[in-house]
Amino acid sequence: MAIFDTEHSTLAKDVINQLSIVLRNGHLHNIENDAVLETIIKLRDIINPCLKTEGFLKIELLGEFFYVNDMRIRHPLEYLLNFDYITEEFRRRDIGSVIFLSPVEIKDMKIFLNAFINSAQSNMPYDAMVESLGEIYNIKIDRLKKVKEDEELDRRKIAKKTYFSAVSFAKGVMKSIKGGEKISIKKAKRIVESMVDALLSEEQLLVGMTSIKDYDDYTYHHSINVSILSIAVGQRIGLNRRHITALGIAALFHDIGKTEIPKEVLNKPSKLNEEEWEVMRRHPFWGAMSILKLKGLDEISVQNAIVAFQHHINYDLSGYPKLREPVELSFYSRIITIADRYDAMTASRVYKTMPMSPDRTLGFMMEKSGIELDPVLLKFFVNMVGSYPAGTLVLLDTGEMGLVYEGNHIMPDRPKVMIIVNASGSKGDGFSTDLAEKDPTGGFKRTVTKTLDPKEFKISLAEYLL
Amino acid sequence: MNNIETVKDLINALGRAKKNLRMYPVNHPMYEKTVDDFNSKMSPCVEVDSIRIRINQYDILFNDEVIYHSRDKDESLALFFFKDGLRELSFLKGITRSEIKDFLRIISLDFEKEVLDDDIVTLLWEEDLQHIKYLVDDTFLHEDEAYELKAVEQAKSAGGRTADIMKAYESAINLGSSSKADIIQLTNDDIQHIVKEVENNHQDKNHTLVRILFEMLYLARKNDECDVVAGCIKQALNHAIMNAHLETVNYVLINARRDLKRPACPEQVNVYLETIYNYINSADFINMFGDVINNGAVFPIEVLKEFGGLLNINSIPHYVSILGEMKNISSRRTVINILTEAGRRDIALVANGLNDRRWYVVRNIVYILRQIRDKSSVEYIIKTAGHPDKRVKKEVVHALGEMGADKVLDIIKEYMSDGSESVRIAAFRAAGQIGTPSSKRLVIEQISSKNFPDKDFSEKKEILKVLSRWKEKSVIDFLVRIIQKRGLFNSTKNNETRAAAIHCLGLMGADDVRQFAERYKESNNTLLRTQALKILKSY
Repeated sequence: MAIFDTEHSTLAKDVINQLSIVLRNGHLHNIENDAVLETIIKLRDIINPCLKTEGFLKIELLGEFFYVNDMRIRHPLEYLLNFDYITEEFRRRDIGSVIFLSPVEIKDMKIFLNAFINSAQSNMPYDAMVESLGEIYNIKIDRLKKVKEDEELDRRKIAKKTYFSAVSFAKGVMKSIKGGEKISIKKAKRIVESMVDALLSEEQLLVGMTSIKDYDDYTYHHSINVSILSIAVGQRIGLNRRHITALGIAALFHDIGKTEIPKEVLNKPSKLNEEEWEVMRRHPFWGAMSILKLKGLDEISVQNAIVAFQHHINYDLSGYPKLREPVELSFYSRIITIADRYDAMTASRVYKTMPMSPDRTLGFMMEKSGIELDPVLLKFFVNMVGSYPAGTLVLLDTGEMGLVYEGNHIMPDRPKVMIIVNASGSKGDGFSTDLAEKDPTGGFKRTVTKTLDPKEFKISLAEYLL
Repeated sequence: MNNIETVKDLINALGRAKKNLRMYPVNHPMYEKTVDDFNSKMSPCVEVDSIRIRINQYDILFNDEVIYHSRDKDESLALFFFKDGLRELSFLKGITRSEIKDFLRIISLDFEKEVLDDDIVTLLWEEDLQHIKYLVDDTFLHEDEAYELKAVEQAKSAGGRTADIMKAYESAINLGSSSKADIIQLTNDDIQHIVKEVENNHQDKNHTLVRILFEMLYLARKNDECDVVAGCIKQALNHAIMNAHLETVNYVLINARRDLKRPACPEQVNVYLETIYNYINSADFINMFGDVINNGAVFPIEVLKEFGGLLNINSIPHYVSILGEMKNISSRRTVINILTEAGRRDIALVANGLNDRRWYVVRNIVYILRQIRDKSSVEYIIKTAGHPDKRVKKEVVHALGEMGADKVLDIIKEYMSDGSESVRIAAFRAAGQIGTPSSKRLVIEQISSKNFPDKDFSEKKEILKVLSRWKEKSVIDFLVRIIQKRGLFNSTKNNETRAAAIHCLGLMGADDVRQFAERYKESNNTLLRTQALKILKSY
């Protein structure tokens, strides 16, 4: 009977967490240090009983997730830092899995730890580690599995389908609400679930889809973008599926009050006057009204109404609507406010002002940390989208220019990039490259040297990503 | 490899389990037995291999053979799965009893009758069962295929011209250094902070909603907007009360009362605030609250008191009415606490409850009037003095003792010779509590009566104890006289009276008591001797 099932997922998390602690301690102290030894003993005591039952123990990094004997492990929030650490260290060494084949002794673990630490100095860390492990038979490693080109295309196709179906649904919902028709929360949930699934398997790809803003129906895209960005944060902070869905739905409906805003105000190409702003500022009120009118009060509608009402109220309670008395901002409202702000500022159509590039937007938002935006949640958000969020135009040290299409939350300054101008200075065909990739000498193949605002040059990811 | 008959049997068992579980609550032994039965059928099937079934509208297939067929729209297991989009279900090797239980719980929900926003796919998805996989037809989610094509075309056409790209490249080459958003590393404190936030996020959001609704009431500009908001506040109040969140109701009451008094409160808001305020004081709301209290809801005393103090007098008759409906002491106490606070506004309304035919309601109302401690309550309590039930009488005499003065002494005197000992003792205590010279006289007069020695020792002891509150020489002398009194007959009764008087002197700390204790420490009367020894021990 497999011990790594749903009921024993804690054990699997503990295995990864303790391995991370061992590696971390090994980096900090001498391997013979008592503190290191203590962590090794603890790891041994977790691993050996598992090996007795399972026969072997395989800890595998695949995409964004760890698997223990084929059971996928959710990144637990309480172990987040250790999980991030071990992910980064595995990737740095090109290690995909560590396999324990039979019960281990302290000396085996010490050899493994030594090999792991020393491999960091090598130009070819994976090979160096394999060589060092040659002397022990019960701990093996495997190389990190790469996503093949055609698989990558397939993933992109699924992400695209999920994204546009969601936008189409959002459009339908807003129209129904405007027409006073009922909407299907069941369907909304299924839509959000499909987004969560897409994010669970390929978080950054769907997040990348949100960086494309060149649509006429931007209002609908905005709802979905905010939903995706919020779900991605929700996932990072360890919300369970039910709560992630609730968060995603609240984000989906956050701007529903805009259906009450006259089209000529909503789509006005020039700056809004004070009177028009006054109308605009009422949309949180109308949003909460619409939601409550639609469904009455239940768990979902209460959450949605709160978010719709609060999403323009800042962390310091400034913003709008103006409150007569201070009201605590809900957790979801604070997440969605960040996602909303980011998406709105990087889009050209929402505030009728010049959009900012994603990286500048993040910088601007950081300045508002603790004032307008929840500082801790903002950290999670920035870590999620990375230093160079999708949609950022980057110049690389190779002389190539590209567009970031996927962030990397383990190595935030090493995103995936579509090369649009090659090293010779001619237009490229948009081949994709991962800035985390290394050359045979162990150095990174490409590194960002400068960033530009793609909007300034009417360059969009759409042509390459869609 | 499972054979057709085994899987057929399993699916039929699944249908039976689904029906069974609907009949029993989760904590019923039959519920667990049903899960066990199905688990014991499933376990051998997935021991070696997994089971994958396909679902058609009216059929379930295994290895392309129909193993289940039903066109009954209420009963068909196939249709039940099919209509939510399930097309394939797999039970994998390694499935646990707990997963089976979760699965059975989901499929046994009554999706037709219960107001659920979830379908079976959503619930299975949320549960994320590791050994039960499913395939779903989600074409209905992708209804507008054309939309994708149109949007993609539109987005692509917006940019990407070679000239623009090359211009950007040139700028990039000539650009000085640029900055990037630095990633701020998350700290352990950040993680702990978020863990707490996630935990707190599970709490009911109704209170936050109510606060927002109050803001919205002021932001509303049209009557229909106010109607919706006020309606929602009522719904939120119902939700709050059904979930025993009295703090939320208090918040509404405090704000409604405060704002109603403000001259600056807009007229239309005023109207709605009144409506909301009146709703909380209405029979509908109070009856609903009564049910919640009866179902065992418990509230902190200070919250209850605050609530009662915020109600208006219209609520009083309704609370008096539900008082009689309360099933136990704890729930009655909750209503009593509310009425004690609300009742201060109109004692006459509370006192109407004294006419109730149920003795316990009358007793509770007397208790409430006693807690209110308003002199005007006395008149109402006096009128209840003739109540035949001794429990009511005791409460009345308690109340009169606490609140009355000499004018109630006649009633107390009557109670002093009541048929019930506990009422008689209560009456003496009440007189003691009044504590006036007249009440003292009354007590002494009763003790001096010729029938007094005939009472039981315990009663005499309690009655004489009352005298100890007057720490006066005259009282000590009176007690000394009792002790020294020689009786010709019935020396046992006299000794009991002496013992009670010595006890009283002891309570008063009188100097003479030691002398009497010495005298009676070897008395043949056990009560007297015991009392004397107790005194000597304590001195």
